[in-house]
Amino acid sequence: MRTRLFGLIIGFAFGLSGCEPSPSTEELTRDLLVQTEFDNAIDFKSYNTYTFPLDTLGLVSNNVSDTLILGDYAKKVTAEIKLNMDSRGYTYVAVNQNPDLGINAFIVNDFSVFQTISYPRYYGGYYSPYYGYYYPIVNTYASNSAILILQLVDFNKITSQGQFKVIWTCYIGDILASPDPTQQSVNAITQAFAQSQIISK
Amino acid sequence: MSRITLVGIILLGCSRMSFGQYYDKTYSVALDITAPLSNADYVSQISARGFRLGYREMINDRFFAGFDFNNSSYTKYKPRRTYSNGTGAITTDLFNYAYNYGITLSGEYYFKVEQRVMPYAGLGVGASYIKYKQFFNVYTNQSDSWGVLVRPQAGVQIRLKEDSKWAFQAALHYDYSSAKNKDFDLGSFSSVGVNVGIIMLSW
Repeated sequence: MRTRLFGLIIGFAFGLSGCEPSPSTEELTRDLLVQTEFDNAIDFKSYNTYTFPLDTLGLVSNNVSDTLILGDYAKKVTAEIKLNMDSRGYTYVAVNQNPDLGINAFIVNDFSVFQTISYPRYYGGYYSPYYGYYYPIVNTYASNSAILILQLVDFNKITSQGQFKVIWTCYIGDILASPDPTQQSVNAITQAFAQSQIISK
Repeated sequence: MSRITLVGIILLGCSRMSFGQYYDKTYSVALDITAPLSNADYVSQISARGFRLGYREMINDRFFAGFDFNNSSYTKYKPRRTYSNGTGAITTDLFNYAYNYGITLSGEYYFKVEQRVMPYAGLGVGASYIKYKQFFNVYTNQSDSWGVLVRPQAGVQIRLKEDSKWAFQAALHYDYSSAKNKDFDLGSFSSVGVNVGIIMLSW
């Protein structure tokens, strides 16, 4: 009786402690993470004009076959990009007006499914005279994340791979976990430019 | 003689009452409240929900030895800000966590025995495992370290009555762990704490 009570107390201690607590999803997703990187060899003041498709975002996904995102989210995100580029002194022009810069704005959606196998009482398919056969337990997990990526490319510089040179990149995530992806993405774009003062005429 | 004086004399008498030492093993569980003393830039908040489990065997009347296992979790929230490194910058808030586990061979010397209140001092030496985890949005950085753990401590064991199979304990302790972490650029880890718990006396 006394030992059982002591066992209960220990169990309570473990339960109270939780051993490895972690922040809640609500706490973690209050704001999106914003990461930027620029090419130090570039003089951003040398550019005058830029272009990119307004109201449309690209989509790279291993989950859906669509390659474009339209609608309210795309409109607000592209509008915010344009607002920030304009405020830095660059002029938006149509693609046939020979712009200096292009902007790639797209979302990368990674949907992953993975499985773990655990063997209760250590041996899968093992026969015990007391408990019969044990079989492995298969657990299936899925993760789904999405990052908004912005790239500033120089239309006058071609890399050795035959691609336009990327002079600035921004990663914003995680869009899918966000409680308000549209507004948080807009805020994150503002932040991306705020931490990239080098982008300026 | 006033009533207060009479009660005082009775209480004093009780505290000096001699208790037989009829046990040679103890099992303990305690709530461990600890505060980090080092790496304050990474974690600074008090761990209020740690615990410690212990087992002791009597070596002689005044000396018990055995082992302890303990767990505590320290945290620190760093509000959203921008971290720059030349050509790159990242803006996020950070939730820093340090999960500490320790297992020690421990011993206590009792300054008074066969008393209701038995003060003691002790030392534990063993291994420390610290898992550092940094949460930001849905992403995490994680790294862990092993080190030597040294824990001097002092406390009291209190029995309410002579034939009780239970006792209470309260102790102050200082923990030093040599577990450093290069990934998070952290030095050795030290903390100070109070643990309060119960002891099951056995023989």
